[in-house]
Amino acid sequence: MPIATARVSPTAPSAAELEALIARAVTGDGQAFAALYRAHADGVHALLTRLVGPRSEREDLLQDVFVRFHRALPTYRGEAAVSTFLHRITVRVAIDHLRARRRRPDTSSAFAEDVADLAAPADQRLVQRAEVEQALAFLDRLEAKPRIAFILREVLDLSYPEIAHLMGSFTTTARMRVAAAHRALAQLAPDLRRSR
Amino acid sequence: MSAAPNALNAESVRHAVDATVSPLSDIARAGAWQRIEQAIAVPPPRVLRTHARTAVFGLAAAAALAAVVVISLRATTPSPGVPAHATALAVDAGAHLTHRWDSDLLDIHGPADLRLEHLLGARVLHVSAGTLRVHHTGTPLVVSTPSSTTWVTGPVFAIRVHGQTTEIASGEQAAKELIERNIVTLAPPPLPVTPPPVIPPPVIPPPVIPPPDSSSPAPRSPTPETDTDTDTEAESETVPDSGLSPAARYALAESAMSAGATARAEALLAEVITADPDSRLAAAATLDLARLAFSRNDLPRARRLSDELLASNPDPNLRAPAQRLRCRIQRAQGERCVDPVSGP
Repeated sequence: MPIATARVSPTAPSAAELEALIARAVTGDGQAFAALYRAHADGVHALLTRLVGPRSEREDLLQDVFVRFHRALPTYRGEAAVSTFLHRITVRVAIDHLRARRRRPDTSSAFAEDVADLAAPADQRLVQRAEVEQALAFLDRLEAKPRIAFILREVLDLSYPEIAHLMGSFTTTARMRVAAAHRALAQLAPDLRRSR
Repeated sequence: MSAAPNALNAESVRHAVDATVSPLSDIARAGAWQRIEQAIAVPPPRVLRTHARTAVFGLAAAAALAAVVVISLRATTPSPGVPAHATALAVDAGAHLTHRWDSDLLDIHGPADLRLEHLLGARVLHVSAGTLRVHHTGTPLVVSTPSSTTWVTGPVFAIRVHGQTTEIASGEQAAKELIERNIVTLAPPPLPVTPPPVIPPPVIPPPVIPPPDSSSPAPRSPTPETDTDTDTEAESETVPDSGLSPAARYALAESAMSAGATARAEALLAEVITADPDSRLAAAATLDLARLAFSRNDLPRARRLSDELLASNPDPNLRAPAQRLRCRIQRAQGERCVDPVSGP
């Protein structure tokens, strides 16, 4: 279940190499785990960015994902690809983070100003920033799980069974979460436009 | 300045989210690794203790909550395991129950086990077992059985669920026949296996009139006693779908996909495409077929379908996911692909 990442590493290890690295990492081989980190850090970081937004705490979450991955390694049975195993953990970390963020005042910042294409004319950059801010505002109003399901479906184009697998839910539940997010989008879109 | 964002929709959210992705800097990567190394170097006894404490408190809280829920629902919940917003109906063998659900009328013949539920705006009729006729006037109904999920819009339908077998008849006459066929055989007590006593002829619809040619085969019995699974499955696959619009077929295909019935979903999607190959619905069905092929690792078919879709110049809402899927297929086939949205 590969999730498209923003970058394709030219030196990405093959599936067989990854399996070998996993086998060594399970036995406590630090170098093997470091190699796994190098192979997957970019993908996990990109997925985290999509799931929680361009927030300053992504590096902390990246650390959290790999620490949990390290602790979960003994339970890895090879039924799914390493990346899928890792992405399940990433989704879990993102859900925990989003729930915590809703419970406490948000002191972090989203870098909408960083996302505009600097080569674009000023007018266009303003529109780009406005669109990103609008989209992030919409996502921030969603509960954690509908938000994650919506992003996995609409941004990463995963099928409902894939979403269900990553979120540890039933396919029908995944479908309903995406539908709930769509309904929220339909309801919130006019409000967000008015609030600008 | 005329800078105003476009309307917010799924596509604009997709572009915005993808635009936020930036590469992980080497400094950030190294810094995170340093902290990971520190974290995994020491065993986490405190964390484990915290988890154990949390688990104990969690279990205690869950037990207390469960006790409260059981006590408060004991008087109102018709059967165990039913969510508070659902209604469960259990009808004994030989019994008959008429139940009104919103504006629909359910005519239930026991033995039957049903659950009526409102799920996110949709009305879902779960039938675990039983035979029933539904006079349906309200909003569309999703009928869920152990072997299928069907979206029903017709005014009258009947359904029989027996084990893993689902039989659905749509329309007044077909529903009546299904009920009569099954109630006649189900209502009396079970007959001894050997030897069968002389039974008066059952009250059944008149037999099919044989064609004038007397050499033709014997007329088919309208009450097939040997109701094989495969026959009824085949009937349930075709009967409720007859005369459906492509949109309804697509909705059924979506239901089938969510229920994991991929073969049925693919058949329905193929019918949607055949019905109107140039429609937007057909393009969406092609994309779904490609996704299904990709999910079962049939990469050549997935690629052919996504190529066909892209060659047909679909609207942007379909083009973008089709391009992404094409990219995923290429990557799965060991090729490189530059994602048109998120970049190289």
